[in-house]
Amino acid sequence: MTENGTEDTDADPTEVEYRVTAEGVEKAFGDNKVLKGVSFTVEQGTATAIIGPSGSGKTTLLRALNALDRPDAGVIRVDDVELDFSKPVPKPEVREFQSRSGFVFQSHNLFPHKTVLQNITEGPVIVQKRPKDEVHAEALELLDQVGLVEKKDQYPYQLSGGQQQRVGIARALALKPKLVLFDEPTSALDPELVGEVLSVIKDLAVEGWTLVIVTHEIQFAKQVSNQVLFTDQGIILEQGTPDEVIGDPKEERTRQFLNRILNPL
Amino acid sequence: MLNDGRVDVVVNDNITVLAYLAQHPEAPIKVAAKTGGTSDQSFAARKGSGLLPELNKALAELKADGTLTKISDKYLDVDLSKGPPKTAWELILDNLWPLAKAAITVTIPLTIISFIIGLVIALVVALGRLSTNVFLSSASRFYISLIRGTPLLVQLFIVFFALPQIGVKIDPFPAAVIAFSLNVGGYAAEIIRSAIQSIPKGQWEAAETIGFNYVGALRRIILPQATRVAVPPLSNTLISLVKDTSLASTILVTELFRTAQNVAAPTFEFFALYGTAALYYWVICLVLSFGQNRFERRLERFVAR
Repeated sequence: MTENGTEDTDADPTEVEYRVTAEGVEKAFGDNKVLKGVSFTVEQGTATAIIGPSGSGKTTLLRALNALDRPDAGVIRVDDVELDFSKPVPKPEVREFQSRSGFVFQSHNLFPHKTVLQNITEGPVIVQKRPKDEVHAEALELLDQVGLVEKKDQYPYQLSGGQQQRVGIARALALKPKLVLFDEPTSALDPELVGEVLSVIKDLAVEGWTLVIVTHEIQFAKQVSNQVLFTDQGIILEQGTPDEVIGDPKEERTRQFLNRILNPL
Repeated sequence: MLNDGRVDVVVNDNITVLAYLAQHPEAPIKVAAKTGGTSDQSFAARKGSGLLPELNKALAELKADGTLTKISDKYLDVDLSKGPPKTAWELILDNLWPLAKAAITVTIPLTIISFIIGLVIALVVALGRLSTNVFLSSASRFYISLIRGTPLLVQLFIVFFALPQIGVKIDPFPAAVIAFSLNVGGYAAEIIRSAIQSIPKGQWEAAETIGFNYVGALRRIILPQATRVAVPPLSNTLISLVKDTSLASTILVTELFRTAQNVAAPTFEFFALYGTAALYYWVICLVLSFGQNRFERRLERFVAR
């Protein structure tokens, strides 16, 4: 736990040890240009919400931050690892880059053949080759944090959707990433299960984790994030604090989008 | 008449034929088949002469001290001194153990060794088939097509009879192992490929995000899940293989079926011996099915029922 809340980290730049920067990120799937040169910065210990209409490129942008989808061009830096995607990048460098961030999927993607605890310890023990006992203890702490210690020996199919997603979050955190990425973490959940997942993410923001969250939960984005990016047609159309982008949008497209989401009828 | 080529076949008493062949090994004649019937040789004595017990005693002595065997060997080249043919039941009982031994020492090892090597080949070929490398994927495709498009019997014959013509001589058992492994490799490759492809892409991605490389993701995340999908069809392959090993009899491997053949041919007890062999194959397959069920239940433990 960091002792400062997210607000303080912004206020005191000397505390910032690292940041995440993206510059001119481009990505096309076939003829479809999904990202057309996207740039932004995420400061350590802040939460950034990416909102925007479907097909605007927000998920692709998030996946680019973890190189799950390799951009065609652009430079992304997470902590001390910088990749220039306009050149071919060797696999070990990609893996080093990926090790700086954790990823939470829309559909959790837990490993069904492993218990809750094994899902969390798999990365630290097998990939990072850290001592089992130590990882085990940390994993239990993480499970405690997401409120699922008693489920540690269950298999994913025995959990509800919200519980599965919380285990997915614990799995991502177990690798001690510098950056945690969330891809619409509540979109696949029943409405009554959304709250438990959002409150876990909110706690992470308060604790000082660096978060980037693709979400349709506008109220949640407003409450939790320090920065909001509104993507539209492959570019970041508008960015700023939640009060600026959500509270007082400058762009017509942003207004239309927020209006549709907040007043669906 | 046979020697002169005026007839093609004669039917004759076997003692006469064997005696002739023993004296004229160069004669262009061979025994084509045997009829089921036997003719007994008898000694006759006048009723009440008291010679019958003496005759029987003398015969028994000749039999016991091996003189009859010697005479038979000398003039006929085979031993006809043994008693009347056994009944089918006696034959079955006498051969229960030899057949079981052939099953345990040849059929089962041949199956297990070929299956294990076959699975290794299959995994490599399946990964090759899934590879983005054009050479690897087309080589794998070619292999699968070749194996599935040619009869197993022909594959066995190529390994055992054809390869020696280009200087590769392989003993029967290893030749059978090679042919069966290659065959299993071709069929199981498609099973393993489809099992791997049945695992959602998100599992690969999740493995990637926690730092696994391709091999690590495959070994720790994908294959354990694919196993569950592959076990039922792979069990089919294994059970087929058990029965297919009987084809090895054609390349001189003395496995279960060949052993049954060897006993059945001179005694004509086809039903008894092939029936027994069939029963043994069935028992092996029953045991395998039982094992498959248990294994599947174990693999189902992480799936919602």
